[in-house]
Amino acid sequence: MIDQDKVHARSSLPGRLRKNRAAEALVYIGGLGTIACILGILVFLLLEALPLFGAASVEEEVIDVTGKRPPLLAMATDSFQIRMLGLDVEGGLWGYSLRDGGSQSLGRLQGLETEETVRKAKAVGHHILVETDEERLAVLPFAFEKSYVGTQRRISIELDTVEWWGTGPGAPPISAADLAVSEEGGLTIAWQRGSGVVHISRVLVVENAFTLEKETQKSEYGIEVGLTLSFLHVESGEPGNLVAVDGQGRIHWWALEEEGATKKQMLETGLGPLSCVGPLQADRSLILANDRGEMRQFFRVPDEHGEKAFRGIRDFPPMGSAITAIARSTRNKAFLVSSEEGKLGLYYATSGKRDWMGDPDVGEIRSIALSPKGDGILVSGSEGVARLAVDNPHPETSMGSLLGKVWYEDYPEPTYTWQSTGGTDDFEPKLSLVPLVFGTIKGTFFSMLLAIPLALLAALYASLFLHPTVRKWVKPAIEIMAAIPSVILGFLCAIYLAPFLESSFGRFLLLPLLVPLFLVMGSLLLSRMPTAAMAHLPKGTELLILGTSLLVGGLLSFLLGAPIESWIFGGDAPAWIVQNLGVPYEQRNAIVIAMGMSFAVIPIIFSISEDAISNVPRNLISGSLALGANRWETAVRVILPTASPGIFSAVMIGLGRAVGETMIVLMAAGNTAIMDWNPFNGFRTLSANIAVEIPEAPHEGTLYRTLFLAAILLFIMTFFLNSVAEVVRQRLRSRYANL
Amino acid sequence: MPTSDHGMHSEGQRARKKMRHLLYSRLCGGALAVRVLMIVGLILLLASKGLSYFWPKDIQEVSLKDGSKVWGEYQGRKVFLGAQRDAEARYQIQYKVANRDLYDLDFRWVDEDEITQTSTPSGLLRLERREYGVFIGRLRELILGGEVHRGAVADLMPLLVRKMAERPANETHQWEQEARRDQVVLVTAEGQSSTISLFDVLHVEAPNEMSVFAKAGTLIANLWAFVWEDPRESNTEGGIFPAIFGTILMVFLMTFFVTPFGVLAAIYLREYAKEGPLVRAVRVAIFNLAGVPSIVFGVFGLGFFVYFVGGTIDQLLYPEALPTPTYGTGGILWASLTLALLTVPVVIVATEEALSAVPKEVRQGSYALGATRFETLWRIVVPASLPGIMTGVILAIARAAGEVAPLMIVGMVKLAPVPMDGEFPFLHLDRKFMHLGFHIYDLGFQSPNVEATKPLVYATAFLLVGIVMVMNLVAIYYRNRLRERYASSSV
Repeated sequence: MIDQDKVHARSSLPGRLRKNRAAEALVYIGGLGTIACILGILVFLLLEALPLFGAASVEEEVIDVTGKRPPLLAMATDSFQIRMLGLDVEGGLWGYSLRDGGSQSLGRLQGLETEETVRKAKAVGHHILVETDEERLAVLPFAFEKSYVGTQRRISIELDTVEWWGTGPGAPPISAADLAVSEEGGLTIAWQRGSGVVHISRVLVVENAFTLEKETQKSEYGIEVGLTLSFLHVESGEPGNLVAVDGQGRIHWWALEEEGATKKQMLETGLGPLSCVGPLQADRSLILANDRGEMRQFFRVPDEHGEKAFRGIRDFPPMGSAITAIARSTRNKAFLVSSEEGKLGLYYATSGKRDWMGDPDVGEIRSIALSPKGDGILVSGSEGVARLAVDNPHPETSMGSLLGKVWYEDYPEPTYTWQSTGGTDDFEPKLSLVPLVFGTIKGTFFSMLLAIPLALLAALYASLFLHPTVRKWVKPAIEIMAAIPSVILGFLCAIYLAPFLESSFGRFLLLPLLVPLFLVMGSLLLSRMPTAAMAHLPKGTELLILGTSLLVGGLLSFLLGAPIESWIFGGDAPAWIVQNLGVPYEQRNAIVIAMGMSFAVIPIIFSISEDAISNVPRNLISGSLALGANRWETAVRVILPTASPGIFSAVMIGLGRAVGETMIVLMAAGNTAIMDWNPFNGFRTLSANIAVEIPEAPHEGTLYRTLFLAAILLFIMTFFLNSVAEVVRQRLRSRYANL
Repeated sequence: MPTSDHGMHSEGQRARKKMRHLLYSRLCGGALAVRVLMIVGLILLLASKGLSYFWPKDIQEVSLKDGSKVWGEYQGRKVFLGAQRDAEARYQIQYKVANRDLYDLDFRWVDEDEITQTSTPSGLLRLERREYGVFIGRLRELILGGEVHRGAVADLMPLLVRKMAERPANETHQWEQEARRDQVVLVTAEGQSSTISLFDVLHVEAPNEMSVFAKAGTLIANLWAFVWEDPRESNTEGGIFPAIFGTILMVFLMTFFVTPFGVLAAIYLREYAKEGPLVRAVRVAIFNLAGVPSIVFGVFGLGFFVYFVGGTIDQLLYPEALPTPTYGTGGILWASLTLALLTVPVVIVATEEALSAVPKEVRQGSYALGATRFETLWRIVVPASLPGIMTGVILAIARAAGEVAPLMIVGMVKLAPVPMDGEFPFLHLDRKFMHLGFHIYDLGFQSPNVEATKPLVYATAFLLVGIVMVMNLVAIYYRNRLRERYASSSV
């Protein structure tokens, strides 16, 4: 009795309904959750890539607004922005704690006379070049020493011995001066007094080969220039270059030598009188700015003989009033400018855009500096000093730099280039997606060129002419081809097919000629056979005979390939192609990809178009045959037009697969990001590029996000192709239903 | 008569037309035949290249014009590329001479013109070593337990074979000590003698003396070892067991995730959601996701699972290990989740198809008997569509087993132990793993000795193709049976 009660209780109606509701809830949660998850993929990818186009955000933190102290003329901070060194007009040196805003005096510039004041100063690396009102020059070396107290990082400022140049009062005023620091620690100082000679003074650090002691060697010489220069720029490097700008806004370039210099170029910039000149990171580019607030980037461009000459490259959005200072980043091609109105502008050279413009609350701006990592702006004005925190993680990318031509440093012209990493620290990343999109299109184009005819003809035959019993075997066999892992196809293409194609080009050339020929012959042979005899043969004999004639054709082209190759191409077709067609021949090229990719794409196109063709309503076919059309006429005039939307969508889905295929192209396309339609050349696709680069891309870096963008492009391309195919297919289905 | 004339003309025209049309249709047939031949050829190529690696090849003695001799296994013949144009083609033959420690390279190209004689003398041995790969040489001395045995190869060989047979299944320390003392002295073709300790010898065979059956036995033994052994010599020797295990474990985990969620989503779409434009759009979107490139899923897996989810887990559960990531780096869990996401559309589409194939009358019958929606679903509809669901899952597994691109990003490495051991929690989901597909990519492209690993890659590829094809065939079989069943039930 009790047992029965239990059973009854367990299956009571309320219990069952509860269960039903619970199941419903589970299905809703699980089902909707799963669907939301998979549809959320695109959203997540977008979220990861969007910061590439985000504007810089800058927050101002005022350190010292007392205005009691004289304004700073030069500033420098360590890479963690803990401490800052400042030099003021009266020669006072100040150490600021950027975290708490405190500051302490570090004394007066060593060797500065009592009445002497500082006229100009600039920080270059870990040196400050000082120009005094007594027409003297000084170089102050300094360093930020790092130490740890527990886990807390401490930075202290170390000042080194100041070195002085110049003669004091009476000498003609200094018209321009600059300082360069080489990687080994050598200094080159250049200055001009009045309109005369440019003095070059070098301090070289030489390591003694025997004692390994470091010695300094000094040398000094003059270059006669014959005009007054307003700005000088010495490029670091041995022996380096000297670039100067005169009062008319002309660029003069001398190549420095051991003793003396050769004038290489004079360039009329057309910018008018300049107000400011500043180099960019790695000293390859100069930014010239005038008193109308216009800025232009210049760097040396090689001509066809490899001779380099300065050229104006790009203009930046103007600031509105005269530029008073330019500060560069030591990390990338970013630079900061200040204008006469007291505005700051943060620019990026490669992308040519202004990431931020603002109005710091420090009165008239006297000097500006960028922190070593580019994440902080230091600005000193008549009413105080301020630090601005910069959050600008991806300045180098914009729609223009990703999709348009960009003129990179040292390149002869604007190009579409993908080169994400380079050997040196001052490498300028080149992140154009265009060569990758081009590679994707090229690979897809050549693959489809081979795949579409083969797949469609095979589908036509299989659905219209093949005996159903044979079709039952052939169809899964071809569909199984779609399941072959693409890594195996890629491996075979690269290791087997590519060298085979290179060594037996003639054979591959004969294949498309001889195989159809033998097919025609086999077909004629079939036609000669009496119909009665055909009826007695097992099903599929036709296909067997066709296959045999095909094999014969293939075998013959294999045998004749080598003699043909030596007859036409002199035995080495790739060399012949390089010599006579003037195009490069790579072993891993688009033809190899087309052959390999056809394995992956054909089954898809075949399967879907075969479905579309076999589902053409019977009554249409019967009608056509009844009216006297033969089978081929029926196929071409009735079946194909009816099934054409299905065939179209099959091709679309095949295209989608070819666009996204990764392993085959990764292994067998050579992966050089070049834009060249030559089928004997390799290429790099979006998908292969992601596979190659993303394991090395730092999390949330520009490259990482750019690769996410590439993934989005792939997603959208394939999603679009598939959606078009699906819509067309659904239309077709309803059409069939109505027929 | 003009009319009859016209009639005759048109008849001839029609016949020609018919001929032409038959020709066209047969050209189409040719295209189909090309496809069939392509797939057959591909599988034959993989099978022959892969299996021939395990077939013990004869060791040839090649006498050269300069009087020297080469002992090696024949590999192939090719046109000598350095030859003059117009001159008669010269050929080179590649031999695997092994003895990497002596010759630096395992392979040697010999000019065909230089060869005076080729033979397969008896007494040549092929030793598989723990390090430096294979050694080919003639047996000269055996030092067993301090005693030096000299004499004819025929006398020494049984001794060596007996000693090799004494090898314990699990290598003990004591045995290792003894085996290190015992030595084999072999002479190379140049007459240089080389001493190898028995501990380093894994396998000995004298292929020139073996019968076809003995060779077939060795083939099977080699295949067995290939499947069950760990790789040696930075993957260029030994087996691929960790890769097989890694693939299976990953696929298993993926199935564990993909089946319930895929089925739930399909049940929701087919049974619970109200049919409308939105549901139709969702269905199209899911269908299309199956066509989105796998590398995109890999990128998503890296960003979402590895960095976002993994990074969060690390911060919450393993803060002491930071900045070294525990889950915040690629691993088998993230790889299987990524693949689950990649294959879930396949399961959803297949399940939906199976659910919709269950006739309406069956459901209505169930409702009429007073069953709730859940009971109808659980007892009637789902069991009826199980074969369809299974087909979807098998297709998903087949796709996952062959997929490499997304896994390269989220957790595969060249060489890793099996992510399962005696240490708690036994199954280490955070570890990186080896995978058959990636193994092929790695061996074929990043191996230090590509020439030597090629046969291994072919063998691995053959194995992978075999696994994937069998799974697909099973799925196709199920699908056909399912179709037949519903075709008959609806009548």
